[in-house]
Amino acid sequence: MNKKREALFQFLSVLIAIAVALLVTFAIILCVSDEPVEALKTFITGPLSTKRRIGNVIEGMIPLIFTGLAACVMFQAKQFSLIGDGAFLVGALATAVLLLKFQLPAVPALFLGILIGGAVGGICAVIPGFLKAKWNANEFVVSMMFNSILEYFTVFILLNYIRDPGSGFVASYLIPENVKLPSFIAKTNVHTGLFIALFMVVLTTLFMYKTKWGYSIRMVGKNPRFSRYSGINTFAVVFSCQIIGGFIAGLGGSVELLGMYDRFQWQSTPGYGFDGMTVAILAANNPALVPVGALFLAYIRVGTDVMARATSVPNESVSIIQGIIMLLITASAFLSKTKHKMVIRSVRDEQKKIKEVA
Amino acid sequence: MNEDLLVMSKITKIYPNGVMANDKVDFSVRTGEIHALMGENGAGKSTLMNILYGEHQPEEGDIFIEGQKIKINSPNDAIMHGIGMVHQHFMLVPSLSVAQNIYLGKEPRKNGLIDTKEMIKQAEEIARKYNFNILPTARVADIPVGMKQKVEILKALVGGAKILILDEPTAVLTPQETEELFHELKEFKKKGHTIIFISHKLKEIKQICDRITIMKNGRSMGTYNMEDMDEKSISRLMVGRDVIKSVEKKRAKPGETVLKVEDLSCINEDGKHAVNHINLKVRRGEILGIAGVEGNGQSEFVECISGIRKDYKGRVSICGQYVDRLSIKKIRKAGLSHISEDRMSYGVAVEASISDNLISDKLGEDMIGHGPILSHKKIASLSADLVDKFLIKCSSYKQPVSMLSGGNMQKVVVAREFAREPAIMIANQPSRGVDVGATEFIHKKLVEIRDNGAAVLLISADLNEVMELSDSLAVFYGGEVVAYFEDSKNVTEEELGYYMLGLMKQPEDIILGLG
Amino acid sequence: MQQLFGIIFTTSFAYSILRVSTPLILAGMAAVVSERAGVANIAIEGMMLISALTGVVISAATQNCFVGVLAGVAGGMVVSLILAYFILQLKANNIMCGLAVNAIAKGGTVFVLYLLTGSKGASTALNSLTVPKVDIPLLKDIPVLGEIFSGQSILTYTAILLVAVMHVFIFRTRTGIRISAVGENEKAVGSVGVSVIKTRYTALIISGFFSGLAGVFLSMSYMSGFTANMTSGRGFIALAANSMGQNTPWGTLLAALVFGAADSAANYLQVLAVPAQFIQMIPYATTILGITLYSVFKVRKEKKIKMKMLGMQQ
Repeated sequence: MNKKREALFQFLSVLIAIAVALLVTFAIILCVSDEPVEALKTFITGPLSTKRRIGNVIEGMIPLIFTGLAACVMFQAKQFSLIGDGAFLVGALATAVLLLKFQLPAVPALFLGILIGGAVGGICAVIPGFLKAKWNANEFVVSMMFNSILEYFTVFILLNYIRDPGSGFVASYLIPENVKLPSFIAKTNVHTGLFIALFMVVLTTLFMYKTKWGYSIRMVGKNPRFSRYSGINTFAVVFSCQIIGGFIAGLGGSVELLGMYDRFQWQSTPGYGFDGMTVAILAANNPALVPVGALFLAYIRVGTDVMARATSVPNESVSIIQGIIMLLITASAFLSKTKHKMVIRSVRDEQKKIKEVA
Repeated sequence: MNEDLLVMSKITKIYPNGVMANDKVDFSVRTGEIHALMGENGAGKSTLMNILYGEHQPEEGDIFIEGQKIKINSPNDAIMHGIGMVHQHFMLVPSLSVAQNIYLGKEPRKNGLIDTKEMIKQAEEIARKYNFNILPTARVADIPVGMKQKVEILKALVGGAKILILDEPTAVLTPQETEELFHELKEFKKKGHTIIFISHKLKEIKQICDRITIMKNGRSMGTYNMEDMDEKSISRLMVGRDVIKSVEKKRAKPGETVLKVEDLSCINEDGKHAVNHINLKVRRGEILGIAGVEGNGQSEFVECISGIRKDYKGRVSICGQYVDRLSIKKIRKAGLSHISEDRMSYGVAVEASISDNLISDKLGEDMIGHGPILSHKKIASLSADLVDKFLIKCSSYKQPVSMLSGGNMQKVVVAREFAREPAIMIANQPSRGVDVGATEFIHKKLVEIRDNGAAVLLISADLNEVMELSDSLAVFYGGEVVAYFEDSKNVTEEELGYYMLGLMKQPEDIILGLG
Repeated sequence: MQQLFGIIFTTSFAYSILRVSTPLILAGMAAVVSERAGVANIAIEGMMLISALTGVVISAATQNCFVGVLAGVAGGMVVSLILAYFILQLKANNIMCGLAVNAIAKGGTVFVLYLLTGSKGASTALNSLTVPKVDIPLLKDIPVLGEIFSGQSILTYTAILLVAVMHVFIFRTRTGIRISAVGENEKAVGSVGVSVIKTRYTALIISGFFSGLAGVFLSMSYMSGFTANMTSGRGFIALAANSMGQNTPWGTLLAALVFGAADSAANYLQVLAVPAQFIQMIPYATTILGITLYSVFKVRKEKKIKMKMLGMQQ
């Protein structure tokens, strides 16, 4: 009974957090918009209004699933690294460089392109991961700093090695058409990367719950001293979970590039690493629930975009919603008073039962 | 004299994890008495006192002082009503000085800044008034346990305490230090202070208390005058039956050496020589007990041999294989199991399920799945088996450990550590914070693996425990072995006390018999 | 190489170190006080942003520079109050809360900026004020020193003064001692009747004050006006400076100057024939290097002391 009740609480608190965040957003919209009703309407129903927009939501989910999974793996070990941001960016860059510099047949090119994105993403995480595991250097600050370095590095490569001077804006040469991930729903950009993302969801879930290594990651997150005392190599766990996170985020970068873009054109991180953290929180760090969290975030993303185009409310409102949701969900105690009362009731019930039996 | 100074009425407390720690408890004390609050671990004594001191809020119940109903929402309220508490685990700030700790929150000031000179002067004065021997300028991190306790008591007195709660104050003291404390407590009583004395040591309570309240399973079993009670009647009320003290065991038949420690030394986090040139061996089929006041190197010693601590000097071998440079995983593979003294930090992951807690040391083994894969089927049958064998009270092995009582949590630890059939079992304070039933069970299990040919190293601050269980016995003092008794029956409690306090030390050649 | 030395050994370079370090020093103090209370304040970055915008908007509206600074600082304190409520009252994870505040700040400042000016980039449409620079009499006439130390922003002098104030506050006042004690053993503080939560609130609000001042410096002195994400990681560099400065005001000041030097070197070295991107990496790389060296040093030192003591014992 306890577990069910606990799960119910967690679910309820997520719902309430979302509701409060939306209410706050509505209040802000009411204050700043000349036509608040119209704005609200486009925000809520906009993403469903056309097939194209529904497509936008699903496309938007794909990168969020990858970085959400990356954040889940790291959060499970209580590693608060933002390396997903940089890994996503550099993963996509690596894919672009590989495809533009080497002529490969289509299938191996696609396969290698995505894989190298993941590999390079994993390599990005080596520095913050190692410094944390070996010397206990704060992974959060190091990954933040390292992301800035990765951004400049990306710009350097983009400008000096793969830039297409013929393009009207700063971007790489065209990525060969035959290695791109095709869209499979007409009139949308929903591409086959979705299946790769869902495959990764299954893979990550299996990894976390059906392997000894996944178990080790979870235990180190729950109590690192207990894990070390039990003989678990905590250095390897702390190090590897960040590499795995970087790898998944890097894959996401490649898939996003190959599914959505003709050229590599990012000069700063698109911020999916941070969004992945929001997704992971929404999913209660459970990889299997990541698609749900990603769907929600993608939905409000498209909603605010549609609203921004139709009205005067800028789409930065999305980061406000995101922030409020994060605040409220992490405030685990914000329902604790009600929770406490329910526990009292259940203890009383049990004691009554015991008495009745006796 | 016979007026009730403090009355707690129908106090009920339920912790967020659902444990009902106090169930309609009535409790009262009179001016100028030393009142014992007794009960087993987990009976709800500490909870009741934490409520009185404002650290927990009860779900139901009222508190009265001198007939006035009061609300105690925080320690600050308690202090305002003249209640002071000396916690079992000291509430001191290690990097600050003794004087700074005594006056924490009420430092004397000059021009808005802390007047350090005045503070030290005042600390010296109050220490003199109560005849306490302390060093006001020493860093708390550097002073011995006995002095830390004095700092705690002075802290409460400076706060204006008339009612002083002492939560198991003798747990960390030597017999001689305990005598000194009792002497001081009697002085307080003369000066008009009222003392609530929490303990589960019958002898001590008989010695200094006027009245006694006994708690069991979160309920009060009544308050009695001390002269009306004898040790047997108290223990019956506490546990509901006569305490069975001795563990049944056959004579040990020691075999070859399993654990050998050669010239081990280590420095702890405070930069002290916590362990000094220790030589020791434990043989198959024997329980070697280590007695000693806590903080004399036992913890560091265990951390070294179990691999938690790496930067030490000396050699450790298990069954002839040197393990001192190996990882914890390999040390465990060599045959070491370890029940940690710090259950919450090392022993369990409270948020994880019972079965997750049972398999954490078995990742390299096929009993939970081949290669890198976890077999949930194997884990389920292993968990069910261990829950059954070790009498872990739970609704299912999928329950999180946080839902269990202290005793059952410890059984989870014991079950995990026993499951691999170790060659050497290190049991560090195995019955700390555990009820009588579980303690007895754990003791039985320790004797059982000894009889099955394992070596057991038992470390305990509880003299009864070491004396009852050990076949042979060593005493730690100041990070050294100061005494060794081949047969633990050849030593009295009083004699042990002298060794534990460092007043006596055996000649080298006898101690060397251990190495 | 000669060109490099030519750039670095100039008074204008030293002057610029002080200027560039100011926000790091102030944000560093914000990190010191929160870290001492046992709460790593990830949200310094976000608070700086909010204060930076608030200062600009209010100074433009009132045409009073002082009011603008006050409003900016107040903005930082209000945000830290909210953050404190979540961390202390609702027991939320401080890193996640900090990230959330940063997200709200990053999006929210652009949101407000757009509503006020129609631009998502900079506040050039607002006629905001800057904090004046002052020449220090006597000092300004001394060669070299005068050129470095005189003519800085009032906020720069304030920052250095506040480091001294913080030193006294932390080690010599009741509140300061309580804050440190709470970080070290909160139960000890709770047991003498001092409210742990109140003490942490105090620390976080002070942290908000310093973050606010740091933010205001950026938009009203370092630059004249607000630009999107103008803090560019300084709030996190401040956290690094604090850990290198071992939670002490003077130590953090020193570390902040090192990072400030790296930052202004990046500004000065743009002229060299090295790709601009690598120059721009310098402050971040320096920070990582700093954190690494400090962490390695910390672990090594403990080990070394232990081994040395054991060796000598023989």
